[in-house]
Amino acid sequence: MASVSLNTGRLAGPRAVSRRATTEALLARWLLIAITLCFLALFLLLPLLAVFSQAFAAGLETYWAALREPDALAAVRLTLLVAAIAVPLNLVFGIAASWAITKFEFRGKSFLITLIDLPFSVSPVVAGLIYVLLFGAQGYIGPFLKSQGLQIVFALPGIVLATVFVTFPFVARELIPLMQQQGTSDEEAALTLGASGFTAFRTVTLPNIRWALLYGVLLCNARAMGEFGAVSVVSGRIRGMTNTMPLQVEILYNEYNIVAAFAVASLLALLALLTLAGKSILEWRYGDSLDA
Amino acid sequence: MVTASTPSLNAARPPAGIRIVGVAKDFGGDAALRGVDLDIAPGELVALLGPSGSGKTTLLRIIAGLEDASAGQVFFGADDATRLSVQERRVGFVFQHYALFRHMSVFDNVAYGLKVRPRAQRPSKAEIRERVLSLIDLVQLGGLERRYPSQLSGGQRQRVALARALAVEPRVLLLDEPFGALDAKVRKDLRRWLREIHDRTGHTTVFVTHDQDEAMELADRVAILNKGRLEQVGTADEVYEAPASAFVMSFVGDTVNLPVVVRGGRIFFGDAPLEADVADAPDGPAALYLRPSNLALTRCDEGGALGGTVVAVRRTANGRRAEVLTDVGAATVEVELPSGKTLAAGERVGLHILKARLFPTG
Repeated sequence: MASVSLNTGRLAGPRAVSRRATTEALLARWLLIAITLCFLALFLLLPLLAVFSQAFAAGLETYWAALREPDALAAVRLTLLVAAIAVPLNLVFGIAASWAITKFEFRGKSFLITLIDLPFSVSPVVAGLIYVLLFGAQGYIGPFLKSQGLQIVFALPGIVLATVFVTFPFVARELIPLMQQQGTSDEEAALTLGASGFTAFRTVTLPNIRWALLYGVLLCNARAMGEFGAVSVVSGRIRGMTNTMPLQVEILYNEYNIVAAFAVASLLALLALLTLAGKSILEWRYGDSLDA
Repeated sequence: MVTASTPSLNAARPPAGIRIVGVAKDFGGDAALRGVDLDIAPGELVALLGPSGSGKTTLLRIIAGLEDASAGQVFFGADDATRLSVQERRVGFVFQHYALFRHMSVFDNVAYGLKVRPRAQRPSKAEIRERVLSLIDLVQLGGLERRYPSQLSGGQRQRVALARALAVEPRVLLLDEPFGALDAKVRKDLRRWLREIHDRTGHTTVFVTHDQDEAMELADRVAILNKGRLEQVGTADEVYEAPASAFVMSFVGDTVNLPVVVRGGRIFFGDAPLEADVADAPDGPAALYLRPSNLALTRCDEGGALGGTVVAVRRTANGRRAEVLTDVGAATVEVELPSGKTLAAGERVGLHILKARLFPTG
């Protein structure tokens, strides 16, 4: 299956060379490009460079020391762990939701679509508070769970819940338009040819959506690692225990431990850059199939 | 590439007929089908013809098991297919937009139905290969088996879709608007070619179309649907020459339609009695339907002829036609012109009705 997919990418042929039919004034074109570049440099590139220059300001030794600090390591571990749990969960939820919305007709469908967008419109802090209200010591089901020995808020489960909530729309939002456009006839064809529902999903649906899915997962992952607001409310910020990387950065910064703060921040920025690079490589390599 | 028929390509056993009994379909209050009965003989090629919204695609999908009927039954031979799932029905279904698996080569598309079989029923790799390649030859795509659907033309994709459907040795072959997305020339070629394939493989075949030419040229019998009801089933000649309803008459060919009144066995158009050869009809308002070729031009002052003025003369694919505005009733009537005959707008003519059918209205 893998070799086949590589072939599709290669066989899709060279990108069409675009030749402009419209010829805007040369000046206007350069002016727009210049404005965009300046803006990007000022607001995106410069801060990013600042993060790295601050991180290395006191030398490589201090940088490494700041990263090897147990609390920092714990924060890195927790962030990766939370992403490793939240992203696969949203992968499954996202596929299930997109499948339900695009392949079936049912009452309340538009309400479900609105619901999927909810995490985008609700402030992450509010999302965090919802979980505290539900699972906190004074919450609705918190005391019961506590009596069962389950700690949700100020522990890993709460952080995962908040992260899942905030990153839910990424996969579904990526898949729904694509699956709507592709319709159901491919799956129906597979069924008439004797495939079971699951076989049809595995051999037809999944390959059809794989690039959009990967794209959604990358975005979801970037947000899961970088989430601050919702996680900050539910984590309780116990050093070395419930601090994720963004929280660790803030705490260090508030303690005027600038170098350490920027060292962790640079690591976070590096993870984001890696995600971005992954996305760009996919776009460049499989741009045609992503459009499909 | 058309070679002598390969035994393995024919339907596995003698083809099964399809019997549709009282099939109805409701879409949340809207009736798409209102009790359709249709018998299709084994090995027959039948067209479901109708305008959009007539329920023809819904009927095809119910036969395939892609849609559940609200009432009624579908039999394949003696088996009640209504109780079977899509997979168990073993139908070959060709979708309107082909629905080829875009990430698979032509070979893998055709092989799909064989590869997904449970291990016990799955042919060996070599058998699959042989079978798929012979099907690809049958649809005249030999040498293209490693291409991907995006690298094929519309007509080629259609043929891959057909080969894929035939690969599972279907009991019946169902095609949804098989030529709908193709240009006129390719349509005609594929039409003839599909007839050949049908005659060689002998599958009971049902195809849906809104194109009357396609239905009448290709099918053994044409089933005409309108608003979820079956209006008429018959050979192309039967539906064209002896339409069962005004709808069938106007749907299967061009018609001229005159509102008339029947009084005492005579037909009146406005005040003028018409000399039309129609079977004895009950008194009352009726519609007189005739084909443009059923009108003959005469001089305007000839007795019994319908007088009128030429409004325009048009060229069609088959000849030339004049639009005539009748003196009585002010109806616009199309007349076929004999070759060599010229008419100009404004000229006075008489029309003789050679043949017409009367359908009571109201």
